[in-house]
Order: sequence, then structure tokens, then C-alpha cells
Amino acid sequence: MMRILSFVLAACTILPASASPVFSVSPAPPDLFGMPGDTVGWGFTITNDTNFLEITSAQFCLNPVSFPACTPADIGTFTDFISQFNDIVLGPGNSATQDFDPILFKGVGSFAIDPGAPLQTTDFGQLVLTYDVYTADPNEPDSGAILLFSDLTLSQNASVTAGVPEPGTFTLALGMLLSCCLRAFFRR
Amino acid sequence: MRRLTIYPALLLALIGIAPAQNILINSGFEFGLMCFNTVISSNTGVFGAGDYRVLLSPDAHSGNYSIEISCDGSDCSRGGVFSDRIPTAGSTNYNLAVYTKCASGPLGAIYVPNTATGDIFRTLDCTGDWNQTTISFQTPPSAQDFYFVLFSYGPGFVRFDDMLLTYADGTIPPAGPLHPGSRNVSVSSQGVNVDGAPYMALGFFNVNYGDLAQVASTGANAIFGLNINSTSAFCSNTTQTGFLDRAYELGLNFVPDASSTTRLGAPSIMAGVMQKFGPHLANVAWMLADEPDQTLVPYWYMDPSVFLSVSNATKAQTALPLFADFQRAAFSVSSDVSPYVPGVDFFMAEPYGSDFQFVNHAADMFHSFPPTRPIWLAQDDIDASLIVPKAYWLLINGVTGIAYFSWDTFKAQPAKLAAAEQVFSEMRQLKGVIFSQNTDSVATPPNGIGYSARYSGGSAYLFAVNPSSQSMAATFQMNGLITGQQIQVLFENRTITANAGGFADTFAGVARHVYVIKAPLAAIAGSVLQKTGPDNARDWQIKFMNAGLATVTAASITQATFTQTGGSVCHPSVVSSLPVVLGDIPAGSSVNGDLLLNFTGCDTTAKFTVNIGLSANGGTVTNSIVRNNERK
Repeated sequence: MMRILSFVLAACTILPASASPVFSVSPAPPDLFGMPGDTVGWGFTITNDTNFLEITSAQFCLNPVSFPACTPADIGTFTDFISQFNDIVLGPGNSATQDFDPILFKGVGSFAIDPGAPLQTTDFGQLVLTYDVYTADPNEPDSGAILLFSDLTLSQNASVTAGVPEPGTFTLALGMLLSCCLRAFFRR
Repeated sequence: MRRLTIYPALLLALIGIAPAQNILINSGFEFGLMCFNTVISSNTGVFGAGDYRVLLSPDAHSGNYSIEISCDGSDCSRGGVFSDRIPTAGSTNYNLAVYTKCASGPLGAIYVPNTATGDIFRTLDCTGDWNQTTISFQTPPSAQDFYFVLFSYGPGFVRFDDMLLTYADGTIPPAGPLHPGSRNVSVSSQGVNVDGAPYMALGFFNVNYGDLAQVASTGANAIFGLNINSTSAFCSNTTQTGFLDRAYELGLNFVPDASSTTRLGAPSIMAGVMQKFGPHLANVAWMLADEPDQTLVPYWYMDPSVFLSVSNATKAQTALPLFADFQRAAFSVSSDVSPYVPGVDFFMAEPYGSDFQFVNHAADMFHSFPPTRPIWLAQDDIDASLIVPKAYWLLINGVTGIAYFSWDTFKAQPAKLAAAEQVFSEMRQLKGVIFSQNTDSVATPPNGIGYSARYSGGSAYLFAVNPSSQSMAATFQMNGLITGQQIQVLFENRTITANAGGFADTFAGVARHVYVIKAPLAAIAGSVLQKTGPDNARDWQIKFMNAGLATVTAASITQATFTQTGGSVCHPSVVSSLPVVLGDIPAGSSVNGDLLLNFTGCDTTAKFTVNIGLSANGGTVTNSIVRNNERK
């Protein structure tokens, strides 16, 4: 009886703060470019505040999005890496970061641009993650993890363009790349 | 050595081509009044009144029939039979010879207007026996066609037969059409199909030969014969490319008009008529009669029994769909039209003018006659600003053909012609949409706005018309819409952003808007809302969402599979009896259902890839909830 009561008290304490993790796509920007036939993808950083979250799915959905409905991409195919090939569990105050890596299946997921995708067409959408919330790490055998919430969502605007960036964007990206290279050079 | 002489006619016969002996194809009225129409005048001045009648007479100079113009009453002003327009070059010489028979007393005449020397009016010799009257004439330099009239004046009768129209230089025109044959034409409840595809007829009545190319350039795909001083069928052998041949080569389909022949009430001639005039690749339908229900014009009115007997005889000889233009459908009661209905494969009416409600009257009446048949409507030259909206008003009333009356009036008014061209352009772009699935239920328009919807190529198309001159702010309720959905307004280069469950727009007076919404018509999705209960009867509450624009039926959870990916090994199973049927779900709504699972032996470390199957609309719509790292 005491155990049940403590669970209830714990749940009451943590419920209000349970749905405020932060999800960002990294490295920014979330708007990707690739030639037809290319595979591109997104890395991520997720920061949790309270309780333990566990990512259970990832989708790329065309705008507008009304979860759980998801209109899949027009110009390519998204593959979930973050939950299909990884198990991201984050405790209170913890964060996780993964760059996109199509070999090691790291990141949010990949987007394979159709070889026949028309050039300079863009899919505007959102990366939508689902996650469950537990009182403790569910992977720990004796944690006594209790499920608090199921199928909550995190989302981030994202787009994929079949083609090259517009000149302005391309110049900006080139500038950032150059800046990174120079910083790396001077650090040495 | 004997000299071998082969005459040209013999040569043609040897190679299987019969030379034409006559420019006129229906030269002896054996095919009734095909290629001819009638004009009746009354001493009262009332249109269509008078005691003249035009009949098929068995008293023939040769063959089975002559045509008789007779007047047995007291109102005998003038009765006439005039030819279709015959294509010609300018300054061409012709000879026209006609056998006539009239008792001594009545006055008959042959009239050829607008020749190079002016109008020719030749009175007939009335001796009580057959006499031949011959006229020679030359067309003016600018002529593109000509016609002639056979007249009778006063009481009694005049019979006409065996007309011979030839070039004066003795040359023989080529025989028959360049493009004989039959198109694949059929009728469904939705529309007329031509060459295996739905056909949206768009064109003009009463097009002259010289204007065919201009009509084709408007985007029209059809011309409607009307033997009121025009061309009603393939009627003449000339050195010019024939009317129907020229139309066909320009991509225009043709609808012959047999009104004058049908009014003769002679079913026995229809086999010959259809064999002679039906087989041309331009022909896609056959107009039996223009306004057979028109009681206000006595000469046009046809008794339904006569109409049906001719229709039956015609139908037996052709696969072309038959129709009639029912004048009273636009304003009168259905009993005025219903007796004729068994005789037609589809309908036409002429709800003219700026009051769009006449269209509804005609369409509603036609829709009330089972089985459902296509509707084509004739339209007149109303104000140019109304022509495009009214075309869409026709569309939303189920009309799949528009015939503007007539070419000459539109040709003379550039703004109205431009509006008709816009109609043709837009309707041709929308043809695939117009004949696609009707989805009127996806939206509710505001009161006063006419509306219909289709679904095609992954998008919903909403046709909306404000028939009122009052401007209107309109909100369309559309439950399947979500906030932020972009709505393209076709032909206006603008978009509207939807709110959840609808969108708003304005109509500046009489106007049409075509909204395109890229969204699935039927789609479903789901999520796991919560998990409660003991391990042996774990209740996963599933949110089942209608993610499309239309209601889905028999929404069901069909399966649940678990593939373990980590933790203590255990074997979950489904307790619920599958499928779990959740019922119908309107657009924009969701329902929750319970999926009971047995996780006995599973601790919190046991994780799975879960696949929960969803289905609706009898299994035609499916989706699944896929989650990784999912636990009990």
C-alpha cells in the first residue's frame, strides 16, 4: 500500500514537468539539399528535463502536420535511425547528440532522394519523434520504472530539396564551412 | 489496230470508285429532309404558325418519295424547304435542275440568293405533271458557301424531286467523305464516352464552313449542326474538302441535326438515313429533334408517339447516342418532357439567360427521369462576365456538355467569344477532374453558393459559384482540413490557408472559384494513448484518427505484432478478439479503442518493435502504428 502511494505521489510530483524536453536538429540548418539519388539526413540533440524519456519512432511528415497523421515525403523516402537502430533513453537533465551517419545509422534518420525527383523541388515538413516517459530508466532491471506517458511528440521543421542551394544559401553555407575550416586550422 | 477508249466514269468504276453524279447527296428526298430544313410563314405573323405542312409524298418523279409543301387551310402565306449551306469557291458556275409537280394554280418557285448577279427567283411551271426547272448561276468572288430554297405560295401543293446540282463546266465532284467510319461512342450515367474516354462536349451551334478553323482555334471540340441556314450533316460532294471532313481534320467532332427529317414522322426512311449520314468519323452523337416539346410553335411540336417511333427506328441503325433539345425542360413541368424520354440516350435543354436557376430546373428535371443519363446544355450569349461562372454552374449541376448558340453571335462579340474560349480552356484542363469521383460530401458550402466536388490525382477539387450579383464572404466547412493546409485557387494565381475544419473566401458578385486541396480522401492513422491494467490484461488505448477528407467506415484494429529487441525474454500475446471494430469515423475526428494484451512474464526491460494494424473502408484503407523500444 505504501509502495502504491509513493508511486502516486511521485507521479503527481513529476507529471506537470514531464513534457518539456528540447529537440533540435544538428548540425543546423534542418533544410537539406541533395541531388536526385543522393541520401541525406539529420543529426540531433535532445535534452531532457525531468523523468526518463525513450524515443520510440521518427517520421518525416509533409506540412501541415496533425499527429498521428503523417503525409509522407513526395520526393524521397525517410528511414528512422533514432529509434529503429538506437535506443535513446535520457534521464533528468541529460542530453544526447548524434551527427547523421548513414553507415552507423546515427542521427534522426536518412532521406533518400528519389533518382527521378524533379530538380529544385522541395519537401517542406517536420521531423516528428514519438517518445514514452518513465519514472526511471526502463532498461535498468531493478529501476521500478513506471510508464507515465505514451506517444508524446517532439517535432522540428525540416525540408529537403532535390538540387543545389539557391546562390544566397549556398554562399552562406560556404562561408560557414570556411569558418569551420579556419577555426580548425588555428586550433592546431 | 483498234483504238482503246476508256471513259473516265468507266475507269473510276473499274477501280471501285463510283463517281458522284450530283453535288447534292439527298437529291431526291429519299432520306427525308436530311440536309434541308423548312420555313413556314403565317399571315398572322406568328412564328411557326400557318397551315403549311411539309410531307414525304409517295408521288415521286423517281425513287420512292418526293417532298411536298402543301397548305390545306386558310393561312397559306409561304412554305419553303431550304438547303444546307454548300461549300464553294468564289466565282464558280453551277447548274441546278429540279423536277416539280403542281396543279395549275398554286405558285411555286426556286430561289437562289446572293449569286454573282444578285438573287435568282424562278417561278415553276404548274401543269399538273412533272416538269424540270433549270437555273444556272455563279457564286460571288468572295463566296465560301451558298444555299437555295424551294418555295410554295398559296393553297394546294407543290412537290419537288430529283434535284441535280452540278458544276457548269461538267467536272465531277469527288464522291463521299474523306473520313467515313464510326467512332467508339457510348453513354454511361455520368457522361458520353468517345474513343473510350469520357467526353466533355464544348462548342458552338451553327458554324459555317469558312469559320471551322477559327472555331477550332477557340479550343472547342464540337460543333453542333443545326439546319437553320447552316450544315446539319455530310450533305454535299464538292471539290472543296467537305464540311465534316474539314471539321474532323481540325479536331472538331460533329453532331448532326436530323430535326426536319424526324418531324416528317417516317420511321421507314431512318434505316437509309443512318446508313447514309451516320458513318463519318466526325460524328459523335445524333440530334433527333430540336424542341420537339415546343407546343408554342405548332410546326415544331412533335407528338411523342411519332418521336418515339422515329427514335426506335434510328436506334436500330446506329450506335451513335441519340438526344433531343427539350425546350420546356428549363421552365415547365416534367410531364411535358417525360413522354419523349424513352427515345433519348442523353438530354439537352436550353436554359438561357442570366438567371442561373433555369439550369437547376432543367437539370433537376432530367435527373428525375430514370435511369440517370448525361446532360448537355445549349447556352446563349449572355453578358460576358457571366459566361464563365455560368459554365461552372452547369458543371455543378451535372452537365457534361456545353453548346453555345450560336457561333455567329459569339463571333461578332469579342468579349463573349473570349469568355467562351476561357470556358473551353478551363474545362479542358479540368476534364479528368470533372469525370472523376464525386465527393460533394467532403465540404459544406454556405447558403447561396452552388458547389460540387471531385477527387482526382491526390487532390480534392471544389467548384463553387456565387450566382448572385451580391458579393459574399463565404466560409466552407470542411472537417477534414487541418490548420495550415494550403488551398490553391485554380486560374486565379492565389492560395488560401485553411483553419481547422474549414476555410473562408469571398465572391465578388457572380463569380466562380476552383479550390484544389492536396490531401488524401481516405486516410487513417493511430497512436498509443495510454497503457493501463495488469500484465495479463494490459489495456493499450489506441487513438484511431480519420486523417482524410471523407468519412471512413468500419474502422478496425486488425493486428498487433511484437518483435523483441531487448531485455528479459518474454512472449506478449493479443487478448482482444481481432479485428477490434471501432465503427465509422467522420472526417476530422478520431475514436479511441482498447487493445487488450497479455504481457505475463515481461518486466520493464523487455522492449519490442510493435506493429499495430489499422484498417477502414472494407480494407481499402490501411495503415499501421509502428513503434520501436516499446514496452508493456
